[in-house]
Amino acid sequence: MESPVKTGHSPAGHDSGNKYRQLIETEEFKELIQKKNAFIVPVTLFFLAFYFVLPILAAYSDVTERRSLLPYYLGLGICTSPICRSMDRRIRLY
Amino acid sequence: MSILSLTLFLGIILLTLTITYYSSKKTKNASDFYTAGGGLTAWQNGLAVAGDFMSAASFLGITGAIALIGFDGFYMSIGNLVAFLVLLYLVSEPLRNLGKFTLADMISARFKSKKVRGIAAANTLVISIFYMIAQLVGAGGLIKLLLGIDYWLSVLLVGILMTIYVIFGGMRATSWVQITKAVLLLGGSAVLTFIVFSRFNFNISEMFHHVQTATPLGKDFLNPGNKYTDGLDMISFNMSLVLGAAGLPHLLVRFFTVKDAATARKSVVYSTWFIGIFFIMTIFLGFGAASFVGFDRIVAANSAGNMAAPLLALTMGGEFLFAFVSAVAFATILAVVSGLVLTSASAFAHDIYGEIIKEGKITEKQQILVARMASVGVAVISILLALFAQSMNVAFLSVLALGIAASANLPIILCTIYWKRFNATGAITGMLFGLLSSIILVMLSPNVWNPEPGMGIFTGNPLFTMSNPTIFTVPLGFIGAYLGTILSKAKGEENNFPEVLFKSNTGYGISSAKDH
Repeated sequence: MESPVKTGHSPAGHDSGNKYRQLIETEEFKELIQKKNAFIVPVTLFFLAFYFVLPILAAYSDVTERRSLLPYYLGLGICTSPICRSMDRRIRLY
Repeated sequence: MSILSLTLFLGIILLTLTITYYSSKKTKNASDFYTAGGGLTAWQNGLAVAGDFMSAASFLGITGAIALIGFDGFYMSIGNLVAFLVLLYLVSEPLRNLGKFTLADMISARFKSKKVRGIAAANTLVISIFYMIAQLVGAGGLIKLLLGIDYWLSVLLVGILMTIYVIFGGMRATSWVQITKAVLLLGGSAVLTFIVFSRFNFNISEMFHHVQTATPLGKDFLNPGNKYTDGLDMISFNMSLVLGAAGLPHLLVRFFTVKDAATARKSVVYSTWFIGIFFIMTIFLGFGAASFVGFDRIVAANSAGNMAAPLLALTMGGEFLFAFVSAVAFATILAVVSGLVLTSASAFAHDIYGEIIKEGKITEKQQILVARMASVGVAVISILLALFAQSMNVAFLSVLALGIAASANLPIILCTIYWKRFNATGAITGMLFGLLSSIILVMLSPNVWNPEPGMGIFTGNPLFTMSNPTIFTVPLGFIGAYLGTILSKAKGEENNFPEVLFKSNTGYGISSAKDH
């Protein structure tokens, strides 16, 4: 039988605060959170940083005098959907 | 107004009313009204979410902005698209796993406090009504330009239609109107894009080369800095687009219209494809308008560039395409304002009346009745305010709505899900810091106080010189949440964190919205 962490179903009568406290202390749940956070947090932060580099460069550097930022911007737009799709596939594995 | 335009506009009205008629037959309980019974599939909800993003401001505004200011116009489309990454994992999954009908439900899953629910609902009402007034004022002006009818009549027409969709068809009608409009918008944009691309011999480099000589900006057209000259203000604007979109209540409630978190995530992925494709098409439309309509003609029709897309259709495809694109713009306006009415009505009927005043002791029938009455109330207030604001520059209301969403909603959503120590006092102070700082700073900004007559609400020098304060208000929202939490004596709420943590990550206890 699969565990409540995997199935998202808890046996009847396990709704009290104590039970949830026990459930989040299980190794399986801790592993799930660790895996999720290890993936979601860096990817989201990286993508936000990737995005905000552009306005920062546009505002505070002379890079636009040497090269256009358009390809960077288009690349960012075009790769958003594939990144979202791969993130969704990855998270479904957990 | 030509017979062709009138026929297409009436066709849109007939189509949306037919959708509402069939939806009304299926709207039997509160879950149907608020969330379409949680029965939308991932691609349907993906299209509806994309429809919410692809508003008239996106279609007409971004095309016009790209045509007039080039590179700086891209910020709006890319910012919205990137917001989906924030939505995808940080917000959509836990929101679907914890919530029922509204954003306040999700926050109340952790804090059983009437004050928390009340302020979350008030935030939703403020954001949605500000956003709706901006949309209605824009709609009145646009329909006046497109159809040649008076402003007041345009606002009234849109106002009456949006109310009919919501009170009779609820979320099901609103979603299907949104889906229909998204398909029409993507189809219309694709036809225009194809024609524009054919005029450049299907050669991207020819298009980019040509556009550098087609506008008064010359080669600078493809470089940043044509509109946003203050770096901090521009970064702040980008921040409001990325973080604000992930906190807009009318978008967040869309994740309750699907059966589970996995479908919610999948619908976000579908949305990014639709919006990504739309974003690429706006480049063609903007470049096409700059090249074939011309800067002077676009500005002469509307100084903000809102007529660039319809004028491009007229130039490329004649009367029929112009009438079709105008009708699509009309459908776009209708769909977005309907979603806003429904979200506001839900916040009032479910959160304020049902959960706070009646303490949850309310029947399904009463709940739907109150929601319908609230829809009429919200619509009447918005229509009156939009009529009153006819001659005002209300662009700041959209800035304000996005700013409040980013500064008051997002910090609280994230702290609720991820911060163990967070408590009800922190939730209240966080929301109030975000809400009030956004309102105060925008009221002191050049959006409201502008030395140039007609550019703001009042003529004068602003005390706060940036037009977008989000770079300050988002940290203030987090600071408010932090200070409220650590300075308050209340410790009890954190006991609920294990339940919220477990449910938000596993979906335990969550079934289709029908079963709530």
